[in-house]
Amino acid sequence: MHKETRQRSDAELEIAIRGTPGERDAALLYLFRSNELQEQVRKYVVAHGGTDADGEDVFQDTFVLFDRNVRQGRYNGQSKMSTYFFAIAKWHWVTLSRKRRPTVEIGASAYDAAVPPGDVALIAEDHQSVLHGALAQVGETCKKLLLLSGVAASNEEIAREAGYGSADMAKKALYRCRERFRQIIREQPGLETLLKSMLVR
Amino acid sequence: MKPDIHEKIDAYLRNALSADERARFEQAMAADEELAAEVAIFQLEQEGQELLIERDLREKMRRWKTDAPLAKPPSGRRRLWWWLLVAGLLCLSGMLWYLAQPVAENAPASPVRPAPSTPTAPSSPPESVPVAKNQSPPLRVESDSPLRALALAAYDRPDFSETFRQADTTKNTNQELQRILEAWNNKQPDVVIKAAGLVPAGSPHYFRVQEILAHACLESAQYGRAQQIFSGIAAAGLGAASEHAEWYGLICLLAQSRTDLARKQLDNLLADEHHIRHEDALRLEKKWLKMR
Repeated sequence: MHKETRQRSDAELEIAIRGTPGERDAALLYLFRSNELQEQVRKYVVAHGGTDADGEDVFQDTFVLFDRNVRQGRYNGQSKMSTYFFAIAKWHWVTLSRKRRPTVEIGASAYDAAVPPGDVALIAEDHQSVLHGALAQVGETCKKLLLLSGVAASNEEIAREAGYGSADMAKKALYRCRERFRQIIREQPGLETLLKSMLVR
Repeated sequence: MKPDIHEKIDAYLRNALSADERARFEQAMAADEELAAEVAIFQLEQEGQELLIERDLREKMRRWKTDAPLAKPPSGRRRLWWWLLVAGLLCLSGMLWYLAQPVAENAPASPVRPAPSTPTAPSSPPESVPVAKNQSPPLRVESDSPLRALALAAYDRPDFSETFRQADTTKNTNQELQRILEAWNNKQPDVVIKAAGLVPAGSPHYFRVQEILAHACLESAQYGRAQQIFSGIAAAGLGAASEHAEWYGLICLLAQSRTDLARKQLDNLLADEHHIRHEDALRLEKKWLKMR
């Protein structure tokens, strides 16, 4: 992993990613600058029909998925963090390759048992189009509150980061903001169709 | 719906219910369409949060990539290897520079691909994108990808002069815009990208800046990032500006050889006869078919 600073254990990194915004950023930066991870993913993608640019895209997409999984407690520590990261990257590249060339057979060895399929799903495109519209209308303050609460910041941290006088005020502001965001989602064009497809699933 | 139901939905989506509670809640959802729809809205809210976190993380990755990590100074034997490497690189770069001289004018833009970021739509709708067709020649970038060549041949460089004239340069915020527009007019996409990154989301020109930024990314071969920004503008439902963004997003998809998505996007433009870029889409369709 990262060579320039002291080595950090997987458990330490996991706690930090789920910790305060500052701890989280430091841990993610540490992992991002791991040349081993980047190289491993890039080499794998290039060896399996992709380009260097694909390798970089896959690394960054994997980073997003990895962060989400760790925050949501899906990484259970049974495998090394780097193994888990690489397993997500492999799955993600397989998914992308299948989308690009649906007729090409992909062998079972391309799938990695270190990660269940649910851990590699990005937000569906039809959901994203509704959400981009809603996020564009929600306002910067509310977005900041949603972002902070999304990374599991405490009410005290939210108050400090978003400039509220107390944790209680931050909590009330977040509640109002969530209500508003849901209302905006309800008003988005195309929501009805999307809801139908979600409810059928 | 009552707040206690909201708490229950939150707990359900966070997997915080016991197995029994979860089963009962799912039974209740199956019997009550209104509750099921409310859970779907909460799920979308959660996904919206994840999108925000993703945008934030991708923006950070872009910054982390440009801020090179501090390297430890090499020592002893390694120092000798270090100097040999530096000397070798200097020789190599000198040779490359020499070889590049006669073709420097046509050299392709460096395909740097930092993390994509998505824009936030403006609080007020902007004017439509002032596209000046045929005013500038299409991007001429040598490419070994036929799809990329097709995309770049279809790209028309927008003329933002109207925006430039409208900007009141007496105010500080507009000076930012002026600098970006000047860099755009002088065909300095790297300068545009750097300057656009300094414009805060609260700026009255944020949307326009994002639009120019997307074009600058496209011209710097950062197709993924350009496409993300165009897709944000397109999704914001801003009339002509969004329709132009749909077209440019299609160009970015093609340039990345993301054929399935590009095909879908092109079909959307072809299906809408009143789309501002319908004619362009028809021309592109013909060329694409010929290529196949």
